[in-house]
Amino acid sequence: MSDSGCASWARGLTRRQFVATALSGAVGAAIAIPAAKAVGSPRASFTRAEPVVSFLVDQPYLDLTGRDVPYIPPRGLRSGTDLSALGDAGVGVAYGFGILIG
Amino acid sequence: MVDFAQVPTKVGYFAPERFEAQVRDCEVLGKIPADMQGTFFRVGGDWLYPPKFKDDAPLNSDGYISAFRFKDGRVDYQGRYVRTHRYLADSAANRQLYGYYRNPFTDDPSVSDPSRPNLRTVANTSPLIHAGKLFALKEDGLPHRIDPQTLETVGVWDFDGKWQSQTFTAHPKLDPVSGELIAFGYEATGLATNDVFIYSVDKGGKVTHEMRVKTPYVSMLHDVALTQEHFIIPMCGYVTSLDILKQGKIHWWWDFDKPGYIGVVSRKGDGRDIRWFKGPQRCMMHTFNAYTTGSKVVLYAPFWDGNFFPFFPNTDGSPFNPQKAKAFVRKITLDLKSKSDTWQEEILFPFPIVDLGKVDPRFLTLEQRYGYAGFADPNRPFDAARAGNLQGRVVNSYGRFDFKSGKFSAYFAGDTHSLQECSFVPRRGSHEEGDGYLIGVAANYAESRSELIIADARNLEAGDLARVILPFRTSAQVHGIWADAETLS
Repeated sequence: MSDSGCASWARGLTRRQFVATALSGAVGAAIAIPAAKAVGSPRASFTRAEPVVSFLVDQPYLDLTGRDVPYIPPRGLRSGTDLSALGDAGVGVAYGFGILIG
Repeated sequence: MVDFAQVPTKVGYFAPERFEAQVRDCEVLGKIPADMQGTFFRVGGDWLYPPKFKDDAPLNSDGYISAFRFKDGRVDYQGRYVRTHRYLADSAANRQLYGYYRNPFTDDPSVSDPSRPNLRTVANTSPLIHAGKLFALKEDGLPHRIDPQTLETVGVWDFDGKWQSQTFTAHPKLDPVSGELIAFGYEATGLATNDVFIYSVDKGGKVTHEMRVKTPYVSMLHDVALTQEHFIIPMCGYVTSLDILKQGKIHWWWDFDKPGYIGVVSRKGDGRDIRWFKGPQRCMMHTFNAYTTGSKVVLYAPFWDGNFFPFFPNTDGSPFNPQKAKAFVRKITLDLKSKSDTWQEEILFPFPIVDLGKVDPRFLTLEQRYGYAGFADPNRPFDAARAGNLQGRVVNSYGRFDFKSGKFSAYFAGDTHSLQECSFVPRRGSHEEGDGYLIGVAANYAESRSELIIADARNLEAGDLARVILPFRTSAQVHGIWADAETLS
């Protein structure tokens, strides 16, 4: 599988986009990215939903079916959110306190 | 520019780490047992640069070795990358040069060399101590010798030229009776070959015996089992070929049409007596232990029901099925005198576990009673607000499984924690099976730090004896081992 091949389904899903969706409280929502491209030589067609980052055997993994329960990491810096993109209100939400007074 | 933002699974506790560290006199809760004098070595993976392909296997991350050194009730920590050929090449280029897991055809032209695939190993799976030397291992390459004091990489080790296989397993076996190391390499003569070379190495580190066998089809031979008489090779389901690799795909695929096989061969022979038993599909990754009794070989193994790696696709294009990602404590009996070509299998405990099973290493190859493994207990509390929506989905407990009585006891790590593989540490001066400590690293998702837990292996329900606190997340291990201070002195 070439790099361009796999990028066709993963291109739109970045870590920051995934986390932004999680912080917005969209629990259970699939991450909106293009439908996953089948690998190998499929002998049957399978309907695919939009992939989600789920959790299995103590690791996040990308569930291409979109059916597994999404993984929502706890809020905060470790969720990988770019603080500069959040703004004051977003930082307050991420750190669990009120609006920063600058 | 290094940018891991394109890797959607590197979030939360699993965000990239990429540092080397040393902590003197770690914070300790509780009291370290006075007889714990030695080192807990761990090997795992930590991407130096982001993977070239977003759907690459996490198993392709750069090797990282760490050590918790115990002395007189204090613990020091150290962690360093293994300086593999790949690590050095990527460092010099300041970018990821290597492609898919175990596929050199997908590497940058400056490093691609399909004729020597073992050069690109990441040495990220397990530590080995034998004949006074410490190694970092991965099954697609040769061992990397590591200085046990500094964790610097000394270099690749080929047993003074006697090791003829291109590869060396991540799961060699130490015979506690003879002190021998029994190890093997698969895909021994090159990519996608079904050759397996099996070696005996004496306790001084010299190769004393070699035999060569072939497998029914090319598959992943990640772990084996050893008895005093036999070498046991489980395999199932994963397939590869040069065609697949030349198409630029990841190394392993799961083929639902491939049966399971378990090979049994005499340790001291030339390999021609190998007998392949055929059975139902299981994902046969790790073993607990095995022993030979009369004509029977009894194997205890935490095999999965099916493929549990979501990044190794199915050959028929069907999606990964997480319902098959369940491992159980299994007892498998192979009768060498039976005319039947299959095995008997029993599931000894009814709930799923994680397949990283251990036994008291002093009883490896012998008829032992206890096995230890982690499992997810959904009945224990989990603080989702502080640690994420992982109730029932994290390995929060270690279990001691009594294979004779069917009894079970458990240790619980905490309501914001998950546990990596456990290791058994014998109590000094004791010869009784199971008398010792169970240790393992816990991920504390709420505090974003790692903690090494120490529990009494005979009294897991009592909780920690002690807990070593690191002020950061250490790279997740795949496997670890304990070494008494005298072992590497």
